Amino acid sequence: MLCQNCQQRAANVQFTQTKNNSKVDVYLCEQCAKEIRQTEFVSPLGFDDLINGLFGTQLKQEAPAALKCNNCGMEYAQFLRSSRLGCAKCYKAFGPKLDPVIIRLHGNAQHHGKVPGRVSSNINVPNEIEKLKQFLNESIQKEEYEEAAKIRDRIRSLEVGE
Amino acid sequence: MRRLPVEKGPEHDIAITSRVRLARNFADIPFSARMSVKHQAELMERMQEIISDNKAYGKLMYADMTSMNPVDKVSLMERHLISPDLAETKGNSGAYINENENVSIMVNEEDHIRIQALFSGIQLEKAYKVCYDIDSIIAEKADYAFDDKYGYLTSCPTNIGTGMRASVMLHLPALVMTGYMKSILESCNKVGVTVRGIYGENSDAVGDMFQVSNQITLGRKEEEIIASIDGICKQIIDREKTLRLQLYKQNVYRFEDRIFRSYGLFVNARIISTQECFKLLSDVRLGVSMGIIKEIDIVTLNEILVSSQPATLQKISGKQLNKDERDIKRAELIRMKVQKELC
Repeated sequence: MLCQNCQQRAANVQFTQTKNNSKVDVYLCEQCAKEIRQTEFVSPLGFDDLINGLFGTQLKQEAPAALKCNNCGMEYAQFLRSSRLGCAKCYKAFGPKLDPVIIRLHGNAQHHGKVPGRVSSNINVPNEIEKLKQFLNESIQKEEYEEAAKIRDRIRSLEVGE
Repeated sequence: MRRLPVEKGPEHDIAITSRVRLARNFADIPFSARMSVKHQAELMERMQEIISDNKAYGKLMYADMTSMNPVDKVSLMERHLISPDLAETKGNSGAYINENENVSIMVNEEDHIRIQALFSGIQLEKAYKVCYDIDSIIAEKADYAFDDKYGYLTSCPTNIGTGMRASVMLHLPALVMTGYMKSILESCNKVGVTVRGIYGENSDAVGDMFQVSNQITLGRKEEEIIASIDGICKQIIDREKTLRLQLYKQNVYRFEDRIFRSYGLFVNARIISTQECFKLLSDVRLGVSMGIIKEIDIVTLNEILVSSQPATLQKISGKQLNKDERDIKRAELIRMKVQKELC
């Protein structure tokens, strides 16, 4: 692919240009990118751009100054600017506003991965069993019987624990 | 100082490295945005205790960012042992690095800790296994910020869930030359996979090298994420290989001429800038990978890739060098490495 600016060198940098409130991807060579970056382009597309883009609409529409995390003192408005949360409790404090954004970011809002040993006793047992049953069905459908047996044992141990 | 990577993993000529990192935070300490100096010191102390208490990690060296000089910091970054963010932090932060220089635990980065493992070639599963084990040992001694719904809680919501980023650095000159890279970038984006420059977020793609990594961290199991990145990378590698052969067959003389011209410059030049080095390295790597250049090994090129970068070059030289001096030193280093190989 040739650089869309000079049409001579190979393009190896992706830029996102904002024009009339819409974002356009532009592919440039390194040299053109460096020259142009200082003038009209925004920085290369990264997670920060993505997340700021997602929060951007909230930033304009609302003035959520009142929403604040009681644990660390972080205000929701501050979070919108920096896209960084202040502590673990911020997730609960900003929950209703944060949840839709998380869904837009990840396509869902339910963790299915590793669970740390020490907190596993505190997790919501019925939810965990429900989740595991779903995994069990998936494993059986995929004919992964070894994995299915492990999941079944885990369900049993959770049920006994109840 | 070891030069990464010295081993040869599967597909190591195209897949330069595979890396997995896990982001973790302690439940009772505020995240980086709200941390006081006291919090930072407390975290450092706790981590020191956890690390020194357990021999399972192997021998770890501590790189203290507070006292380290900027050249050494950037050199660690160039060797992918710490992130660009950690190299720039001014506060109380550091990294525990193992002897083989393929495992590191960063402390006080954007998240409290970031566990990272790096291997040659396509070896994401192996890298994940290493991270998983370290993570489990730490979890025995610390209460992580974890939520049943959102998984591991992180400073930025883009990392929640698994807190895992799995990435493979690929050398894709044929895809760049033929213009297919654009469609690869587009298709990867559609399936939640990001393609970036060699130092991750916001870095440019130089020397035809690209980092392929997962964008989504929540809602999928770690193993599923690893399998999808692994699968996508293998497909990209296959496409790259096919295109390399097509380009070669289309015009053998032209193809070989390009490779050997670059090789000639690479091993004979007396002054080489970082940018030119990346460009020449790309052609030479392509030549070695395709068996056109037989005299040198990919491992030597990996060594040059790392040690020819500005900070690492100064670290090897043992003194500060200005740009002109670095360009001369770089050319010397390349000649030295290549000659050693030829002897």
